[in-house]
Amino acid sequence: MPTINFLSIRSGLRALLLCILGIYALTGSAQTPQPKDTTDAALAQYRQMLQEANPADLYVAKGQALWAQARGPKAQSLRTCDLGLGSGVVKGAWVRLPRYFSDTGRVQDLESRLITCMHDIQGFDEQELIDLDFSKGERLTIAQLAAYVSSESEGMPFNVPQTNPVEREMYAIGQELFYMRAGTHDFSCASCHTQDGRRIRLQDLPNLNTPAGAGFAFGTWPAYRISTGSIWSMQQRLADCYRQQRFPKPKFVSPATIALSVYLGVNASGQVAQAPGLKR
Amino acid sequence: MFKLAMNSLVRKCQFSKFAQVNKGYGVVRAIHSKKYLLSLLLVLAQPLLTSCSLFDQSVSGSSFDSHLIEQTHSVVALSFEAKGQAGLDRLKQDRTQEFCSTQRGFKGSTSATNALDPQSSQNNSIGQLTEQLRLENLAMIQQPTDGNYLGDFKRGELIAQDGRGKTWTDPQGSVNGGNCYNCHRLSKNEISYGSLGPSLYQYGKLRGITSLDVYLTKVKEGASDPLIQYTWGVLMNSKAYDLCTVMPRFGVTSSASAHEQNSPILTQEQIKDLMSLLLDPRSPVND
Repeated sequence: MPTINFLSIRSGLRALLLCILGIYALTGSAQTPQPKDTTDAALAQYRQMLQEANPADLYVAKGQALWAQARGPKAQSLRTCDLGLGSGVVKGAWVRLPRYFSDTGRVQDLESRLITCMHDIQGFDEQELIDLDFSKGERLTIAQLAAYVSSESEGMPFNVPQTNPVEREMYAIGQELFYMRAGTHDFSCASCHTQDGRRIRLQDLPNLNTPAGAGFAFGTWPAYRISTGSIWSMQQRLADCYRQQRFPKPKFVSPATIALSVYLGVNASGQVAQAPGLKR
Repeated sequence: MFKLAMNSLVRKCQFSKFAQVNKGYGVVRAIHSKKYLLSLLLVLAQPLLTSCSLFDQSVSGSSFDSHLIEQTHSVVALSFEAKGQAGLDRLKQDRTQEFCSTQRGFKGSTSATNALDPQSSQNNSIGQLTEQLRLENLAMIQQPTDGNYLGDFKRGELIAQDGRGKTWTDPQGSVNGGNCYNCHRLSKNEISYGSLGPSLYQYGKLRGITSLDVYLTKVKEGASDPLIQYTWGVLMNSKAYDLCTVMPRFGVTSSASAHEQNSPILTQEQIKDLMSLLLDPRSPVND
């Protein structure tokens, strides 16, 4: 197996990014503000350039190895983990999550379900996994596993189920949370994500009430974030949304973040999964 | 006869409300444990238990499902933890936040309500509530203690650029930014601006401040000048002008978070600097 130097790839990519941004800033500041469509096109081109070498692929490989490796107090692999399509079925599982699981009696997203498998099969302590920081220890494991599992649904359309009444209730709660305004800035998710073609600074804001917008937001996480140099899961993405909303911190795999994921996943119905993605 | 029917309806509703509360807890428990069967039964029984929900709605003037709101509150209570300066008290909504969470038209603005049939009593009551809450927000606006409404546009530009403050990763007591460029175009040379809010480029110039003389007159007039008064008001409390606007209330603290030791997002001095950024003819906004 070839050794991959994560650090050099990361710093190389950052240098490339800085270079592109530098050129962009120079050309941009020399002129008057460009018409919106020119700006958007330039940004789209820049993103495509980055997409061609996505460091998230390294996390997919790591996650795949971790899935098959005997780990935890019980020294077991996750090959018997049921992600909703039966024992050990990974392909296509992610585009049908979150969903209701009868063994736990609740609606679970991918990360919540991975915790269940790591507990039931490998013997990890569930609460310890939940209490860890993002990107640390076994929580990094979960992010890498999520990158692997999501990549196994690449190109498949989202089909998050609404057959069970609890799944439908979670969607309705997710919608309530989406519109819930609170905190020091009166923000809700909807404050930024209910219109087409808007930006914060130069960052596009997907309209999460449309299939395309929800598909873009929900279908590209987990993703490699260049600004943090790490893989981010959907749970981490949502936690950071709430941080910027000036809310208190949502707990990892909390019912609120899972309900929001149901809302996004169902709104993304029919959209094609593209995870793991690459973000600024 | 009518009174009798109303009484029985009210009694039925009280029973049903009790049942709804129980059901709410049941479903939330089901999210966390294996009481799913029980909650499923209760969910299936919902049409029987909430047969008077239409009556509830017509009284409150709201078409929102009170059971769902209860459930959502339970989910919120289970899901968040205090971190850094972001305490759990931030989840407690004030009347404006609570009302605007239910206004889900385009832009999250109240204009969607206005487009509805003004004859319907429900829209009338929503309109009255909107106006009542707007006036509450208007009353929260404080005028500058020294009577001076303007500051320094250079400092204003820095405040407009700064997007930090009030998150759980910002140190308590640190100076907050105004986040203006996140949503607005302002100075000509800053091309990294958001588009959630209207362009404010040439804000003062387009409103008649075409020379330093005009500006200095306005500075002197202060509170009696309508443009100064309006601009100060929107920066202090945008909800006093458009109740459900997405723009934060920068200079006031809502009643719900009043017990939080948090001060408003921006100080009066910072808002004065933003006033100058918008109105001073020498500001890059009016270039």
